[in-house]
Amino acid sequence: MSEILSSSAAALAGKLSAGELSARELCQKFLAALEADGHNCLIGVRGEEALAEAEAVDAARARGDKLPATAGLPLVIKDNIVLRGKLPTTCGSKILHNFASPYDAHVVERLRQAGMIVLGKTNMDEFAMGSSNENSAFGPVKGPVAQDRVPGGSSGGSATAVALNLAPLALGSDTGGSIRQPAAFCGVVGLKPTYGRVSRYGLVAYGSSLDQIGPLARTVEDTALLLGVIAGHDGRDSTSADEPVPDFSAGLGKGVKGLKVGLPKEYFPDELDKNVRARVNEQVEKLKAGGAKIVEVSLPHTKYAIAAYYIVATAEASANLARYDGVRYGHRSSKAGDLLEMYRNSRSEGFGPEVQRRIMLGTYVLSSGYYDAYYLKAQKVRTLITRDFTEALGQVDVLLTPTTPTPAFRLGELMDDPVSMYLQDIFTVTINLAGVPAVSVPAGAVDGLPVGAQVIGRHFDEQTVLRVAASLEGDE
Amino acid sequence: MSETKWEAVVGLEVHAQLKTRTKTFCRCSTQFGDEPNSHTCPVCLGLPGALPVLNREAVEMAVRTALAFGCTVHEESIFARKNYFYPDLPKGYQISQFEKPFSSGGSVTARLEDGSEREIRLTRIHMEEDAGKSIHTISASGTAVDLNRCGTPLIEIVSEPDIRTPEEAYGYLTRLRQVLLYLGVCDGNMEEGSLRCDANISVRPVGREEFGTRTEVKNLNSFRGVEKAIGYEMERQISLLESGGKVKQESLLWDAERQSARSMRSKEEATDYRYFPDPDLLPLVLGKQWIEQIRQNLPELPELREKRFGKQYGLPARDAEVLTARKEVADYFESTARLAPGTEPKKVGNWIMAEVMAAMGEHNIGIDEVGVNPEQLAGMFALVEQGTISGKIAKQVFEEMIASGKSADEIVQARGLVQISDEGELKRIVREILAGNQPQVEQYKSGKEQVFGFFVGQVMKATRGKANPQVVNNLLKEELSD
Amino acid sequence: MAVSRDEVARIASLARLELGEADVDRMTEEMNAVLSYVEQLNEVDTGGVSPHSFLEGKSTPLQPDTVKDFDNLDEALAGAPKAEGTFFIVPRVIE
Repeated sequence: MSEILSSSAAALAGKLSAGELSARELCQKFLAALEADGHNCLIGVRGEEALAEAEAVDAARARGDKLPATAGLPLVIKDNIVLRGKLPTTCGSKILHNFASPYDAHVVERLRQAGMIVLGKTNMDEFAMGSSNENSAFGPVKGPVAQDRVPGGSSGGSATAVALNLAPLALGSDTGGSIRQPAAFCGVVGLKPTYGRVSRYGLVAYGSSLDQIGPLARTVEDTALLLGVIAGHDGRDSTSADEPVPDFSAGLGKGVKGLKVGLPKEYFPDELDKNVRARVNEQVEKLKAGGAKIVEVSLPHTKYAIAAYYIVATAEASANLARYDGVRYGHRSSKAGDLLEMYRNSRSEGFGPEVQRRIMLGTYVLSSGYYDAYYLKAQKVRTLITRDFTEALGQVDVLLTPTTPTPAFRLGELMDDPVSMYLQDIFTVTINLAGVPAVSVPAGAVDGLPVGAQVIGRHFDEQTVLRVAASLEGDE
Repeated sequence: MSETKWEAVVGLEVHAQLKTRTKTFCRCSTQFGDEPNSHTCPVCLGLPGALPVLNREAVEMAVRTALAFGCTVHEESIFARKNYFYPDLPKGYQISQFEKPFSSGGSVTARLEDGSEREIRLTRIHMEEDAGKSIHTISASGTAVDLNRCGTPLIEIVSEPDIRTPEEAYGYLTRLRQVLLYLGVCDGNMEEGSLRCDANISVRPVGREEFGTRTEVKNLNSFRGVEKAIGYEMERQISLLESGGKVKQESLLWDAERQSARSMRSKEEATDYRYFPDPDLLPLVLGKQWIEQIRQNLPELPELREKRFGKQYGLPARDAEVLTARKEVADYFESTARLAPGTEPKKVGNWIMAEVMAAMGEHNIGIDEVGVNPEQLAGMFALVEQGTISGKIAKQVFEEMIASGKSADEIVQARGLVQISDEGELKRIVREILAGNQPQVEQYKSGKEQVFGFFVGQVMKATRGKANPQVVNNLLKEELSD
Repeated sequence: MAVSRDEVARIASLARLELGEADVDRMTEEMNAVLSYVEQLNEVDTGGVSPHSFLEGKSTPLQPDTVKDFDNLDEALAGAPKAEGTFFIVPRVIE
């Protein structure tokens, strides 16, 4: 049984289509594993619905219907992706604890078309705001490697579930590193696609110009497989790109011979944890050995990325979260004597401290008299950061960096120090600001704690990013 | 005691609902009057995860309007979020345009009662989405929210503070609505809220350059209401200033019943809308070609049409104004004139202004609902021109056309209203009349020529008005001179 | 630029958040920590730099003006904390 649970999605798909395994059986096994989870990975589990869907796949297969290669594959999705049905979409927040979505996100429609089965909704930092998964109204997720360590965030539940073999695949969302950082901390693969590659329709917005849904898996091949299911144009998201979707696994196994890999010097500062540096350097050596040309490049505005990010993201969030007002759905305070009281109490009872902090910050930077100094300035710096990437990626095919400055920190360690917590995202937020794709791939461990290497590529060139990532994974 | 002469400085903000079938950013119907919240979806309900996509027709209508007022249409504009909390604003922000609207400049020519004209400049026109409706009176347990209207496309037409009198404001709004109706982009109904107006009003002594402190008056639901509210607010501000007081910058709510304005409680908190570009939408890029195409397809606008009516049809200025006030009437006139080439256009115009418009006024209906289309009306004119019926009979026929929907021809035939022009028949009748009225014949012959009218009347009576008066005249003269 | 307690209270009011006295103190401190960190953006010369880079060269898509009804309206309205018929009900608003 554990062999099945630890199998890759690709292997399971093979077994399913060969009839060696029924979708129902597979679904049951993972559901049982999820039930037994002691890490608080899931906010909601779909028992009967998932089983019914699995049975439908089995029946279709028995009839001889032509099914997608992914039919019957189970996965878990982050709880900020809306899924029609009784199971609430909570976003890790009290304010949406009872919100049952009447519609499916675009990616959920894609999963259904692919015959895939959503087993449950994963725990997350409230509204995807956090780097540790401690900001969940449903309690923190405990890291998969050591229970006193954070799994990273905000897609901590997704990363942990995949790391613990509770699901072969997961969807997360990434606004400033929320897929890649937990993937790094949990020792799995996590990819943030190019902005516009995956429709945001049905992804509960945090920072709309930064948010992307992406896959988490234990192998690069599985990551490419899931990306292939969810990528593509959607007319309901005005920012969805009408770009051709290639076969993301086409480059896997081709090696890196002839590729140019850039090492941005700003991502390897003197104060970088020396063990993290050593692990990433080992990856560099692998690439060299594989025939890649390594060059040093510069992304000169990197140090301003966190500042620009926290202004842009919180500004957008302050407006995105205004709809949680207790009028049409979600939590309404019992102390709602007049309209103002209803708003203020519903929102203050419903939102946790980090969310309130970011709403405050975002409201402030947009408010009269401060807009130019903060928001406009940050957007201009963002332009410069984007240019840095355009220039660097004009010289090389991909960039290689550490995903995070340190391995997983302890639960509670940074809770009272927002700035230090925000600095955790230093190597990941730049990528969201520039809109380029990046993947975090396991790069060994420091004192038993996983470390991630990040491969960054050009807009809409996930293929090369995954190709390089594939050459890094496995036998360290 | 003060000799100061005051003038008002007024700018109007007009919101016009565009007549699209669907909402600005989702595909829900814009239909009025249906069950509350029956035209809503994840997007206009502001559900988590829902995203906006812009309605092409709304853009086209907005651009059409801007071109009609001579505005500059910008090839790139940006949608922004205007942030404020209100129960009928589901997302907590309204998608509007702020720093980069799609259009700026342009003007509206207001006509005053004495026929003179004033050019009122426009600051800008921008696109935005409407809010829903909060109904305060329908439920005992609180304010009821209906989001059917939420997301309906609006354009906001902002004037420069060029308006100086209430009458100018009225003239401005009248022209504005006339053009919107001509363009077919808005139904222009203030009572139903498809056209809404807020007025920014201040006063200053005549001759002074700088503006005084202004107030914003809202809830103006008729053009006359706007006129009255501006007059009221001018007087209030003037008497306040003359008695040494100061005008407070605030929002006022116009009460049409009491003819007065009061402060709005809900607007007490200082507003800070925190506009920023909506990251869910990309810039609106209007290609030159598209703009040009919309320009080419603009209908002839009322001012030009009015001038043309004068020239082409030889109509007096007043007639041209009345006939072009509404596009449907002008179209009706032109169709009729074209289909009745034998009838003088002025006569066609008179008929429409008198008979057709009377019918419209009587039943409070549009010209399309009168029941007589231009073809039918032209048919009636043709009968008059051919001498089949007289002008007097025509009125009778027209009334019956309205009532029955039948053609003039059918009515004239069925009721035997054909004019009698046959000389033989009329000669017989004339002779009969003369024979039966010998004393009058004698009078006539002795020089009392006024009796001639009596004979005409008798012939008409005998023919129930159908005799051709010209022929009757000739015959009578002939017979009496024998 | 440091944010004052009063400003924090004003921002909370704009954002419709209920902050107690102690919350305002804490929030003032935390916001100031973040704001002093972001000060460093002032070091960057952004003269002539566009603030709309991620939108540049793109054009928002347009959809046709044809009605497409939402297929699950009942469930969408069912989540209302307070409703009467199909109206949403909120505490009475005085204009």
